[in-house]
Amino acid sequence: MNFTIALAGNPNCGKTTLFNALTGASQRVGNWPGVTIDKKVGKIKGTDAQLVDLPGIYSLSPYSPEEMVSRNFIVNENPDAIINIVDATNLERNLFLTLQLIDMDKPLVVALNMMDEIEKQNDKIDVEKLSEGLGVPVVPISAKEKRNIDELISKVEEAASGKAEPKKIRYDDKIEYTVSEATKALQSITSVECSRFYAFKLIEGDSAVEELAPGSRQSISAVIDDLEKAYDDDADSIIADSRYKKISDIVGSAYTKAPRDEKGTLSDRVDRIVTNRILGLPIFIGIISLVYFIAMYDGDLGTSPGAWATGWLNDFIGEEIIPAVEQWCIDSGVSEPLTGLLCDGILTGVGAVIGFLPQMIILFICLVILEEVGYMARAAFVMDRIFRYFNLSGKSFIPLIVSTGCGVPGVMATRTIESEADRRITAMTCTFMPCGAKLPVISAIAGALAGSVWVAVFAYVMGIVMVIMSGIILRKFKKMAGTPSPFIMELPPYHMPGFVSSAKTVFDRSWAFVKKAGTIILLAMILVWFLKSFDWSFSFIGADQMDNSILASIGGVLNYLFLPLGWGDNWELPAASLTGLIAKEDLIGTLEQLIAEPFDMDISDALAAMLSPAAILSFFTFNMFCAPCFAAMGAIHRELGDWKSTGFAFLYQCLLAYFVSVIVYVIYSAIDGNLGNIEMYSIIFAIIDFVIIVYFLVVKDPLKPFRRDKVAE
Amino acid sequence: MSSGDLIVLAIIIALAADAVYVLWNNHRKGKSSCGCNCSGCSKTGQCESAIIPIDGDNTCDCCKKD
Repeated sequence: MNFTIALAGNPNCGKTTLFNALTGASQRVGNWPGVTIDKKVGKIKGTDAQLVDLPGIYSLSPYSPEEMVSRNFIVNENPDAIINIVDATNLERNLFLTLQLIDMDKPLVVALNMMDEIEKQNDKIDVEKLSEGLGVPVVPISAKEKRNIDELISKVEEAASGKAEPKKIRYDDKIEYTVSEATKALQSITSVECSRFYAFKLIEGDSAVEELAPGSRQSISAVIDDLEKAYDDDADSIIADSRYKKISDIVGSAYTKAPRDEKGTLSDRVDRIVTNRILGLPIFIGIISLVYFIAMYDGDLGTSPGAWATGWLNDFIGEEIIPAVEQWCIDSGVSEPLTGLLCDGILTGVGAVIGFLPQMIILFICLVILEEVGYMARAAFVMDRIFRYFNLSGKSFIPLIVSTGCGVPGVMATRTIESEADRRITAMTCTFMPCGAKLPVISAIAGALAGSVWVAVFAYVMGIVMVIMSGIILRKFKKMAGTPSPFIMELPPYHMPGFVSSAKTVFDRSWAFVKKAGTIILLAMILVWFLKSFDWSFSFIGADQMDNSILASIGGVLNYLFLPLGWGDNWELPAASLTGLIAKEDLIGTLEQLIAEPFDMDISDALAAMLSPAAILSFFTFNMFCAPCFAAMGAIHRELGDWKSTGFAFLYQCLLAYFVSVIVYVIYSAIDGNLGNIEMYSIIFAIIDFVIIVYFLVVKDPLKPFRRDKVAE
Repeated sequence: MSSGDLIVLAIIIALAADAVYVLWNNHRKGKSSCGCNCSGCSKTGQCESAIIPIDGDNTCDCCKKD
């Protein structure tokens, strides 16, 4: 039969794993709670039933977009049955949602997940007693081990066919009386099925229900007052307490815990170290350093596997493939412009990006392991503490972590943030984190600075610092003012990464990188080649006359802007930064075309020959933190909603990156003992930039002197 | 124009046309032009927001244009 079944549960209770087990889909499973705000749809194996996976939620109150998505689906779409997946290892907390779902009077089946973990802990759950207490069928399962899935499907079919009638959970008389009065007050707007749920919500003061039935809460205010007086508490807390008491009674009779080790589980013991107030951050930095060490170190201590493989691939492309194609072109009488376009443009530019593929694969392997083990959730927890210290929302860190993969989903992930101010700030700043596209840039710069792993650590730490600074600065603008919203995050248990799922993720990510090289990067490289090979009269010029090209004249104008950053008289660098706005990898392809290939060098050596280490770092800083690629800017525009805000975000990111790059250039020159050798205007610029940043950080209303009416808005 | 020129020109046009087609097709389907769809997003392991339509085409809702 054509049933529609909703799958609801708390975040990280194994919902996606169960969804996959029920539908046979290969949806990626994340050991990472709280980022879903949309619903997934699949077909239950062997049936015609449609399964809708709702976002992970803790309750059905309208506190977050996830809760509203789930609640609206159940109320408006009227599914034939609900599977409520419950984490058996966190039974009391998970059943809070179950009790609210039961109030909705829909056919409900509880899937008691993670029973394998319960068995490992030697705990016992009397499923029959639990089912009796809740008044709905309970099926013990292990979604991970695909245990009892068929029984679950059969119970769900029974429930959807109306064979299993749900029972109501009864609370004490005073609450039941208030509920009945609330039901009467809501009679005009509620369906019969959801009346009890709406009644509870009205008593709790749910604004969405009050909007549906204006004046309804006022009409039962006397009854609610009586209830509050009787319990000496507010109505919302009374209902929550009653639910937890009921849960406690049900769980108390059904759950038998085995004696625990006083030191806690292995997860608890590891968490005590990795989320430690003092050790947490150094451990995070240490782990990121180790990841990049494995992927890209090439120095005194030897050559990492990633650096070795990338070196080999670069040599193969540069010394075998391109010369062979070039020779074929000469032998076949191919004209110079076409040979140049194919070899110096497409193969050189795209090849430079593809050359980093081995390092990317190793980075992806390391990052996937960290994600699947559950460490990244701990990193967010550690960062939350730092963020809260600076009056920033800890919830912002989820989009930031997502942005370390790609800025586009990172910006989209800001939709999970309820506060408009926090959401705008996060959307404008999350692309400061080094995304996958910036990894080849990190690698090339690390090579130019003697294979230093600290370049990667600098990118991450500086990214976090830029976000924190921006959080403080942007909150002083009218549209982003306000108090940060609280952040509740559940730490998932550690588990071993699955080989097949991890390998698939690494393959998907690597293949996407290759596909990107074959599309947008290829087109950008053709454009760069045209711009560097033709002058304004559109006459073809050779590589030795590149300084007269269209690109040189554009880069030459921009070059003046970047003189304080120590980039010198090198039009190639701003031109490369400009192409980096199309896609960050284009920066590498453009540098290869402009400064490396014409001199038969690799990018790292070419940069090292052109610039001082301080200038290389300022070039790196600007390109890491200026406006992201077009796609990410498009995502920012969609989230901010208007071009004025998007333009502000673009300018803000570029300006902050510029200011910080000048400061980095001067500070690194000083550390390097080269302060005397840099231009005086760089030092003056750095001081001015520093003063401006500190002014915006410290002054409570920095824009006050610039307002015409001098009235604080 | 030599035969070599024609071959190289054909290869370049084919590559560029394919790239434009893929980007246009992604745009039409509402996917991001940068390749940052579900498989392109290197944090897809953390993101559970991908939609699996019944036809099996795995499209990341993150990158869908409004």
